[in-house]
Amino acid sequence: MNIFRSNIKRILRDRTSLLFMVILPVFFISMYFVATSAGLSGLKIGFIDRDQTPLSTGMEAHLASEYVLVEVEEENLSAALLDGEVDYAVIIPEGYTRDILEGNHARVQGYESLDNNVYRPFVIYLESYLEAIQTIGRQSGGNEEVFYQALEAYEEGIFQMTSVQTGNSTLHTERSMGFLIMGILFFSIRSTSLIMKDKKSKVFQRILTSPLHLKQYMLENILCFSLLMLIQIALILVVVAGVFRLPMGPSLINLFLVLFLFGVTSISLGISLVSLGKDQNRMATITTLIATPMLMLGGAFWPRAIMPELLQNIGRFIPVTWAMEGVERVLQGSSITDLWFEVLILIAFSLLFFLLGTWKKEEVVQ
Amino acid sequence: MVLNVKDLVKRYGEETAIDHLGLSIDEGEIFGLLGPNGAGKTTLINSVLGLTKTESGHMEVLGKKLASNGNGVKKEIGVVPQDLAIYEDLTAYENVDLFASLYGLKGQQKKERVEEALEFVGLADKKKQYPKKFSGGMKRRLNIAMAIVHQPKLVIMDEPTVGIDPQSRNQILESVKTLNQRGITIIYPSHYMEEVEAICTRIAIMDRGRIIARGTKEELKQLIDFEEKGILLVDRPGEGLKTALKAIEELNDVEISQEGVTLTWGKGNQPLTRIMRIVDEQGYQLKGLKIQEPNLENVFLTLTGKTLRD
Repeated sequence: MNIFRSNIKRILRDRTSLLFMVILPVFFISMYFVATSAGLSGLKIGFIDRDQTPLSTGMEAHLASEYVLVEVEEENLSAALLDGEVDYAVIIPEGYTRDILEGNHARVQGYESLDNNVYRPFVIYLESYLEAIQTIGRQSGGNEEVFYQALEAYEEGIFQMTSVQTGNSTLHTERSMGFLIMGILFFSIRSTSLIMKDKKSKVFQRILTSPLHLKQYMLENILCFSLLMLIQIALILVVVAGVFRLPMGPSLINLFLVLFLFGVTSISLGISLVSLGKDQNRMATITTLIATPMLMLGGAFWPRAIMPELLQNIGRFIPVTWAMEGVERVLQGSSITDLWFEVLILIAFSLLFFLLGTWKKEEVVQ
Repeated sequence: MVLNVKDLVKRYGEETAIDHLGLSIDEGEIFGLLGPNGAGKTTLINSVLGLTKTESGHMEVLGKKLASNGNGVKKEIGVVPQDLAIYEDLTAYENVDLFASLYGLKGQQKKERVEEALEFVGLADKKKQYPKKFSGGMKRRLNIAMAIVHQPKLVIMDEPTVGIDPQSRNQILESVKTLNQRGITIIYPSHYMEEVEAICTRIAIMDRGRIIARGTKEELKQLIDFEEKGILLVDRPGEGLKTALKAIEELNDVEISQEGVTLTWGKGNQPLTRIMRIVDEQGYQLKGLKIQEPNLENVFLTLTGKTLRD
């Protein structure tokens, strides 16, 4: 672990590296995240209650405490969404409370305008809230009194829902998460510039004349950058969830794990790009040319669902897609074990990029 | 045998960097690889170090095939690259320490070897300083310390004196000799003829990926039919002296210049006694006679038709 240790030493000692590789990424990603999530409480939510039960009126009050609820007639809903009078509309159908109490799968209807996706953080919040209601309903065993007591306790924060399982979500990417993914991708690739620095100073070539194998050199670099990434993501989540109290889904740890895994995949991608780029400028160009389409096709900038099927299928071969899927599912309550497929794919991408970056030694040293 | 290369070929696209090259280097030598930039010296070194793949040929380093025993052989080799391959953001000690670790040294032994290597290159008192504050010569010396800290059997020094002051250059050349006296075989690729001539026990001249001549410097000089030159230093030489000197059969040419009288004679036909006698007979007082012997530059020029700095 000699390279790992010396890299950590170099980064900690070099204030510029420390600033660009640790502090600025945390600052910018957090601020961007906060900025894109800003005004969540100012969102105009249309709420139509067809059920008219204590539960549905309680839900209305609950949402009103967090968001601006706008009165809207059902027949004018489309126009209100298009005109921007409401950002998102929720309809509680008749029989919703009955279904909840009977333990059946109860659904609400959500309406959104595809031109506007500022409501997405709200949707995550709503999903979490609805799942909590569903779970309390199931656990109450049909006992209305127990149900309302538990719901009240939940809303007062006396107990927390730790097991939130969504059923049939139609939600896709969440914009702020997309930007978080973008930040991780760019800054992970950027972190590998330390290798480019070694190449420029020819230390890289010199190290390869020692008994150290290229793969081990790269692996130790990945470990070093992963440690940085781990600290960065942890700090970002602390800032975003802890300081700014933005809704980050039911499990911050699961979210952290998915983001960290994607960070490792991005670092591996950076390792493979380093083998292509001969200097920092070319590396920056290659990074932009590769990362931007990956983010577009992976659904970081907009929901993948709005893209043609062909592009959606191409997106399946891009790690961003699986990171976004994983993040969405975690935000909707899935546990990390539920995400085994996404996790496996991200690990496979990491290995693939690592091998691509290290397999042709001759080109690396020419 | 430290290095045994047979029929080695390396191509970059259409260009042949190493062209059916054969070379053998014995233990204990300081072996000079002399050739202009682009002759294929660095490609040959990269092949020896396993950093570049060759198309064909056979190569053994320290009696072992590199392909099958890469890391085992690499532990016995020290490399001083042409470029200053050092970490500017680690101290001199940390740089040497890192390379000691890469070559498998640990604990007290590593510490001692690092101190020893820094002492050897004269940087012991600067060990806590960062190389970015070092002069070019000091950086070059640190480069050497990083290569010898693990006490290799073979050290490859690829133009270790590029861009440094004469004092540092002399210090480095002396350190090369000292290392060799300790039993380390040195391969010294360079295009500095004077350095190669001064320190190397055997020399191979490379051009266009081939070894075009090899041997001791005396053997190489024997390869060419070179006219030796002498400059006679006398006060105001006149036509009488010139005519008298021209009468000496062995002299091919006599010219009077500002420096003195330039005399040219064939290799091994040095008519010094007769020259002195004529100077005396003509009534001149001899102030000196500078004899210019053939050097490796002349050898290279004769063999390739170009100079080493082309």
